[in-house]
Amino acid sequence: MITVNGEGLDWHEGMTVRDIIVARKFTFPMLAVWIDDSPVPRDAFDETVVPDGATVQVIHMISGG
Amino acid sequence: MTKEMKLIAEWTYEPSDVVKGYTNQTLYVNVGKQEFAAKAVSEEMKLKFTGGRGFDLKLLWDAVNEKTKWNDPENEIVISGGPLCGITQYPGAGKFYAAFISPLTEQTYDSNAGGHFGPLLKVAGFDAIELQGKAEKDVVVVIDGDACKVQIFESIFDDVNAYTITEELHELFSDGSNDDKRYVSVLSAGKAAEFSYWGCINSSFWDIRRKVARLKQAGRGGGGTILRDKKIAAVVVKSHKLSGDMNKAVDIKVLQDRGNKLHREIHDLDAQQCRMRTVGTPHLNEIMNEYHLLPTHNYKFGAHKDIDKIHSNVYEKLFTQGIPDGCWYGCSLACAKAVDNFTIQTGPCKGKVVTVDGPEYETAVALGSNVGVFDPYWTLEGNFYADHYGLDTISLGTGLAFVCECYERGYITKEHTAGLDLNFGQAANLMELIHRMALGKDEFALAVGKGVRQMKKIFSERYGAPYEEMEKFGMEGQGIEVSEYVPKESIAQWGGFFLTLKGPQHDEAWLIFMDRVNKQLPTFEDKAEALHYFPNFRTWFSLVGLCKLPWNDIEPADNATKYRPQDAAKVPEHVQNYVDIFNAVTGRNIDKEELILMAERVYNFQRVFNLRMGKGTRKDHNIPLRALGPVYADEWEARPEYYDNELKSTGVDPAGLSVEEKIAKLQEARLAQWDKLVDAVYKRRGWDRNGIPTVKKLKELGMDLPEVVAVVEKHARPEDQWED
Ligand code: SF4
Repeated sequence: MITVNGEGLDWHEGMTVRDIIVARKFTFPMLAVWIDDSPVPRDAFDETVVPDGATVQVIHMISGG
Repeated sequence: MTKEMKLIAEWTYEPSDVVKGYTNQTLYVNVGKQEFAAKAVSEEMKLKFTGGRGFDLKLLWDAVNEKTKWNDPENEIVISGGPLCGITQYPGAGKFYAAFISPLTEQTYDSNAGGHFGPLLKVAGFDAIELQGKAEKDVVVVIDGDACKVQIFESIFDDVNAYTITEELHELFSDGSNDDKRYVSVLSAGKAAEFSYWGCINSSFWDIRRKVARLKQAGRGGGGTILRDKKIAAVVVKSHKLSGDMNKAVDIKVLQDRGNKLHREIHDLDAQQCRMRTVGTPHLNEIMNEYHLLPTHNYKFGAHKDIDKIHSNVYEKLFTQGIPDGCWYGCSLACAKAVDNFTIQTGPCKGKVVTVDGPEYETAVALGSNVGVFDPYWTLEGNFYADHYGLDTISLGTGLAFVCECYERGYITKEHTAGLDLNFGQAANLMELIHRMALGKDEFALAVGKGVRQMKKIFSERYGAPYEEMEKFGMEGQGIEVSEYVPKESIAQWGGFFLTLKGPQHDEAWLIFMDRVNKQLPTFEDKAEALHYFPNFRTWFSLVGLCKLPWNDIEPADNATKYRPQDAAKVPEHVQNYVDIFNAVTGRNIDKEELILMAERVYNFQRVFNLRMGKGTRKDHNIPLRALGPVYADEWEARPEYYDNELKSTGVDPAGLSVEEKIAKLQEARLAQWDKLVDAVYKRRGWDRNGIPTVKKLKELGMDLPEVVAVVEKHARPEDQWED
């Protein structure tokens, strides 16, 4: 189990940042992802593996409207 | 052809060159008394009000009194660009801001537009223009920056609709060549603005590639209604003094450096980020649908199965590609998309082939999913006619959505609508209603054009519709229609729309992702902090003449990794750019804290101004129940699991409750949350419990002007002061 934006999500071996984005239907393109206080570059979402128990923040950057 | 327009009055002025972003004088024109004046801008005025909307509100304050109504002659339309308006090195610097007492909200309203009017007004010699009085017959006001003359002509135009009169005036006040028409800009409204409170101010620029006049809108609040009430058919400004250094910046190299950096970001990153250059703001259509934020059927729902019909890919194909669509020179974000060679299907322009300006996201939704129409061609036609007739597309769409729901619920029938079936999705009939609004002949169309707040009263009094039910789903705050995002799932966004200075417009704070999706604002204090920072930051754009979009619709490649999420949302590098370019133009030495302080001064001044006009207290921050959550069973049943969980999170077990009971319980809980939010926000902003800025706060800001303090002292009550 990991937490994504404060909510639980089932974890599986080899789970990547992209898997989380797909599971949560985060289709917005301007995302900032942090795993346990470390940022993940956008071009590394596909290959960055998320460890079990991680605290993940998937931040949607829009703040203006 | 000017010879054919009868000159009524003329005034010659002393030219005043732009220095460090300011001309240091404003223009006063009274179209009723045919009076003109130049007013000096003091250093004090610049320090306290900065420019743009700040200057507008200061001049408006001096022009009106607490009894002034929107259609009194002393009401003004005041227009100002601000000290950065007109720079060409940094993207997004051609905006002007208009302020006035609004027919919809009966308090101050401010609305902005792109186009070339703001920069041209400045090089013509003025930091702002006040339009006051009422003419007896239609007039055209001309500011000729080349001859240093202001003239009032009797209008010769039978057709005051925007595209017609704008094209004719570009022709009339240029030498007729494509190139020369660039030095002219026209403000206009249109025929429907004469009958509706939704009148918009169209602002033109000449598109030399397409060889047509393009129209951008200061759409909201009814500025176009006031323009027509004053019998101003158009305002023309012309000047050939436009140049890359028109603001006479103190340090143009800084502008070039920061601008070049942003141009590079846009060039390298826009295609992966928001695709503003290819599809503009409609890139949001399907995103909002995915997150249940797309207003559908009067905000009942946040998503629809037919989203693919209005997907951004559809608009991308419709928009002409390969043309840099900036609404002012130097804006490489270039989101001012247009559809060329569009053949109009209905109404007085039927058969004409036109260029449609837009639609932007708001219009694509207001005249789309919100009225249940998923046909982009219909939306384009609606967009064209709204601009042409001078109607704000957002209020129009949200207003029509309200009409559709009233019709669906049987509160109004064909008997009232002069034969029109106005259920959601009745595209042809809705278009017919728009045409009727421009004719102003039938009672129903006139009632619709008065806006949701008035419709609730009129439908109830005239047709027996239940007022209290309409209160639940009539999507307005402070008298103006909600813009196009579903607010019901984000507590912070309740504030972003309904704890604003002027009503639910998206130009103060858009916090839905931060609050609801990112979970960055868990406490009421966190939400209040965001509802302090973002509205003030956004206000700053309106003081200096900038467009908000290049702030966060593009971000540096490392923004998301270089800064902690809370800071990254502010796009710190772009904030620093704004500090730098402001200093580089004006020679001042502000930092990012001072930037917020500059905005807070005007924000609080405007709040007190509304108080002076008999508004601006807690009771005026109304919120319709649908903005808080579902009000009818079909809304709940569209997402039953989601709403059951929402109810559980408030401590109520949904088991065994009917849908109606669940709705009532959730509404009860959310109303209590709303009250907590209001308290937290007022406290953070330095306002008392009744939403009035305290004298202490005004002193801190240096806005304790005697006339401002007098208004506060007249209205503040001891029982509304916080204990601590
Ligand atoms: S970003 Fe779009 S609206 Fe803003 S100035 Fe540029 S073209 Fe105009």
